[in-house]
Amino acid sequence: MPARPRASHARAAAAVAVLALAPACGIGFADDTSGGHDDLPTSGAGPFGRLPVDETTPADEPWLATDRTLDFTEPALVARAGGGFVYFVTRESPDLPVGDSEIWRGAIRDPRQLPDEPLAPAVIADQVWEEGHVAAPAVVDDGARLVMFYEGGLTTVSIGRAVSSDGGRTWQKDPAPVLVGARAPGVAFDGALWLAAFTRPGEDGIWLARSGDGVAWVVDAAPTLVPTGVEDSFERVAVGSPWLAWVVESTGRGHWAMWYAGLEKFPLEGDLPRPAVGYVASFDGMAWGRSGAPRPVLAAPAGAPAVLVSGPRATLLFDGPAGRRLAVGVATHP
Amino acid sequence: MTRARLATAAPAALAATAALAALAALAATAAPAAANPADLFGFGARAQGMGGALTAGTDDAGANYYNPALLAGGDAIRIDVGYQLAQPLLSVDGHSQGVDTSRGLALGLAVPGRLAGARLAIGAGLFLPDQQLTRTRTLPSPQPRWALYDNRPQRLFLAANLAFELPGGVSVGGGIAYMSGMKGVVQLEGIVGFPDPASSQLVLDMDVDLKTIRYAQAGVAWQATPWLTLAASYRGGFRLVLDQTFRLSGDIGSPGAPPLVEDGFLHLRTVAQDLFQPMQVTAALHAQLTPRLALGFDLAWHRWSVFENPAANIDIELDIGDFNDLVNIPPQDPLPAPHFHDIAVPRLGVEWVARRTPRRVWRVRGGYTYEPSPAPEQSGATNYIDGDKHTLATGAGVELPGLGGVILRPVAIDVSLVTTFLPERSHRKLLAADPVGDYRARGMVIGGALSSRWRF
Amino acid sequence: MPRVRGLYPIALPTLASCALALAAPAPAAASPLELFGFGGRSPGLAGAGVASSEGYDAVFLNPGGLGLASRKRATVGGMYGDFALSMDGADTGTESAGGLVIGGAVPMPLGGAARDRVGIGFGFHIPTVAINRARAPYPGEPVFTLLESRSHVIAMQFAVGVKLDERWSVGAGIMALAVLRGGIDVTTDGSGRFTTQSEQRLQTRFSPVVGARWRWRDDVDLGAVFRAPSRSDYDIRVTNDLADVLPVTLPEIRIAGAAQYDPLTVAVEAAWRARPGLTVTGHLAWARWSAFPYPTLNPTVGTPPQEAPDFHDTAIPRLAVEHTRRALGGTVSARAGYAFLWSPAGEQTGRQSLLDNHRHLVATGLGLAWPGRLVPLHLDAWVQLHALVPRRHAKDSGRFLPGEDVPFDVLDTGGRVVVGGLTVGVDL
Repeated sequence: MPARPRASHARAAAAVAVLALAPACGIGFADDTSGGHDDLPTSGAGPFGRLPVDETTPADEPWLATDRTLDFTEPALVARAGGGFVYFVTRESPDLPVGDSEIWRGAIRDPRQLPDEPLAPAVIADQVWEEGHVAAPAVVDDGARLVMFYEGGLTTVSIGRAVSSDGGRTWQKDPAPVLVGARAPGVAFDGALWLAAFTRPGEDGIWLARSGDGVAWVVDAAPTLVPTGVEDSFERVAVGSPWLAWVVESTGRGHWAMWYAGLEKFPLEGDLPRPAVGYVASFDGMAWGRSGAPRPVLAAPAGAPAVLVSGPRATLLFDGPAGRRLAVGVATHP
Repeated sequence: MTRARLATAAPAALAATAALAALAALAATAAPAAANPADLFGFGARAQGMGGALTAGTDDAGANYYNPALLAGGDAIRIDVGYQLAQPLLSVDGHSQGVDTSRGLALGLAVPGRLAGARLAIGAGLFLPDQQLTRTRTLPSPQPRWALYDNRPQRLFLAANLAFELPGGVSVGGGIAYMSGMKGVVQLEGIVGFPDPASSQLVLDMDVDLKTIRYAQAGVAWQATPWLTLAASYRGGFRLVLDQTFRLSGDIGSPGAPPLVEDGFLHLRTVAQDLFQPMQVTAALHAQLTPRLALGFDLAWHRWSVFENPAANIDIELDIGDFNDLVNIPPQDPLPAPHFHDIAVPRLGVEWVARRTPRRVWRVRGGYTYEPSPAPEQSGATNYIDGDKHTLATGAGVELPGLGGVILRPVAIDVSLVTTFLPERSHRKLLAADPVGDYRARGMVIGGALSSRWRF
Repeated sequence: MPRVRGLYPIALPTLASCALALAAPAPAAASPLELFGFGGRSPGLAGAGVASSEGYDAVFLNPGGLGLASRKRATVGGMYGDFALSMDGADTGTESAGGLVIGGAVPMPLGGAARDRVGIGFGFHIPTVAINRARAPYPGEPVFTLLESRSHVIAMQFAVGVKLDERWSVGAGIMALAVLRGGIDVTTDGSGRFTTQSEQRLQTRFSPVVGARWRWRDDVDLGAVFRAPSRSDYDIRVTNDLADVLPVTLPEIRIAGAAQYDPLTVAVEAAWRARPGLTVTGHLAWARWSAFPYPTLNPTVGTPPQEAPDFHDTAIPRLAVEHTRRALGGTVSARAGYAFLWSPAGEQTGRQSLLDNHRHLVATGLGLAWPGRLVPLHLDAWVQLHALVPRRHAKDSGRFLPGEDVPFDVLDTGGRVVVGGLTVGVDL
């Protein structure tokens, strides 16, 4: 039965119609934003991209540590409580052929900004065995303090150990090296096992050593990673400068991750090498593998990687040529 | 067909002939559409409020989506106008991915009539997003994404249907929904500036067609008893294929200077997929258990097993003269298969007449849907994040006998609220070196709709 | 010469989406309608019908006619067109055009003051070859810019009409259009592999149509319609960062232009029933072709600016006659019409070569109807001949730089288009 005419009904119907049709007439919430890309998971295996140049920021992207007269190389980094990271670099001697090298420390919240704590010397070569040479730091946060493994010595290159309880500003060194005949360390700790990766003078490849306390080490009988010798491989003639991390994922499972520098060909005399960064990983520290074909995770020229995986982001520091000097740069994933 | 034959044919057969002719005509056409927004979030507030269990029970223009056969019921012209919204709140490892809202206008039309004595109806259904009609998005193969929510709801749904009634309480209907694929060539010719790319002087030649992808939908319904309707529906699957060629040819150098490279070229052919929709077959019943209580049940099969990796394959041919030696493009692994599997989706809905007066009928509704994930645990190279889905729905509506003496038939206003829960699911990688690594995914989707249903 | 080949997975094809420009699944430009008319009756009247259409074709011709719709009617049909266009006597090989017509008109059964006054309608023209096509050669290459591909575009229209009184009815409708915008960033990941992030959005744009009908005298109907311009645009920006794998940096490329365009049009028409069964129609339309956009924009900032198309507005007269009588158990209508389609393009003496000719349009049609029968059918058939007035384009060498390539010195253009269609409607 038809209803009696009622203006309120007509008004209600008109209101409903207007509300319903408004979006179709372009009165909706049209916008140009699109989502679905935020905070995707990553294991830190990259691929990494160098920080893009941004003229609007005070930073000199992609460089984090650069200088007109000094070389900065072989970085390391650890997360900083409260955000950002603490980083260490090798300050090579400005005097050739060889002078004292030092390990400097800085801290930064956002690599697109200026450092909160500018670079300053943190470790100098004050031990006899170091022979004026400290370099290539690897820093591990074991939960209570920072533990640094570093390269020292010239006639017998070795790896030394130092600890810091003030965020890396000051260090207490062990009196003697913990690994002799080894250099360029990368070290990680899974709560029970210390694992070190390093290279050895005069021998190819990246070697591993294991320890229960980070002081006494047992070196594997053979290198874990060797140059492939395969044509067009980014690691055909050399691998080195490993960085190790124990990455605990959201499922509670962890794995050992290793980033390293690979070299396709040796440079001509007077040229700089053009390494690229590779990646391997292992659940048990014994069997190491890649995902897919062996490709770099950061294109050349980039060497001496150091990586921090924090949630859905990974930050990789590398060294490479910046003008006439070597500098430490930043690459990220994603 | 001759007039004599028309005059002597049985009415139902005539209707069927007309229906088939129209469907054949529709099948020869192209127009855009895809059903995924409705697949994910339902079509109209009444359907949403009953968990989508309306393949045998829709009595409005929503039949354009749920079961075209049900368009044939009733003598009134039916127009549905509504707005619906769904907001995914999805996270991986506790971090939100900011997956986009799906929102837009849901429109339905059903126009009944009689042809040669047989009752028939034509109808059309449209979900019109208010952000964009369609969004295509292609991502690198390993990039994690919420496979069912990332981009699939971001498009319109359009279907045209025809239904007719047969003797014995049986009605059948069908129609065509559409999507489009692209094929063509884009050419650029001129000078590629070197060393300053900004000095490039290129001109454009385009020859690109939007081709048709059609998929059918059909349904049948049988009024078995005055209180029980049995029904089945079919919704075709499709995938959008983008097949494009890009040719850049010309010299490399500075304009006005001798070129460094003459007649270089870059040819690029890409074939990608997007906006996949699985084939769906649904069996359903709708029972008017008491004068006040109705129950609907759907059981659907979704053929996800044919879902392919949507990333693009690219064929590159490059000639830049002396620069060729400096080109270093590594070979690429084949795209990994996603290994999705088919799923069965049960839906249950109830509708209760809460209060009936001469001028108002109030109804409340509820529903539940369980949709298992078609995606396996992502232990390999792909990262199609998804999880099982439990959807709880509730709704209410009021029906008026007419409006203002102008609209002489019932008008209904409905509202619904639905929540889909995706319990936490862990994905553990087989390889320690997997670039994404392990992750845990969970979330919920909150949605609602406001609809008006008009009969004339 | 060495070549580098490979098969690479990538997100969206660099230019693939450029294509999306046209790709719009729902985009609608009214070009086939503007070229040939819409429906089963109007094309047989050379495009007239603003003052007489009362079915689904009123969504394009004059939505005011929907207020006069008396029966629910659904219609399907098809059309086919053959193009024989020539440049210097050589056939251009223009592809034929086919399309499907779907339409419906529904008088709304309302009560009270709205009783028997409101009608709604919809009409689709759906090309069979491609529902949208963007074809634009390099700027300067000669092309029949208004005939080559404009028949390949989908048209979707919806309208409502209201009968105000026994003499006046008005209506309004929309054509659904689409604009494509997006971006593609082509880059490499750390391993030097091509990778892309791409996203394209097809957004809605509506083009309104409004019209009015007036029964001036018992034997004369007048009609007027306004159609807003309709265009299908695309704009995709392609950026890249391929320095890791290519020694040459590619510029940022913009793939942009208008895939389809129909001008703002205002038309008035008078239909005079000279005697029972005979209607004579006079029609005059004004089309604002002066706003015709560049078919494509320059893809790089360094490309020298294109010359403007410089189209001009046009006026189009139409004359049609329809004779209806009882026969074959129903009614038979014979239709004929003529129109002079004034070309908006001038002689192409500069760098652009956007060719077009004046056209004589001669049309004829036949309508058969058996309303009220068991199967109330309506059949309409029509044929149009578009004869292009021969034209010569001579380039002005003074408009080119010394040494600059001139597309041609003199070019003679001509040809014809033959198109026909058939629709079947059923009263429901």
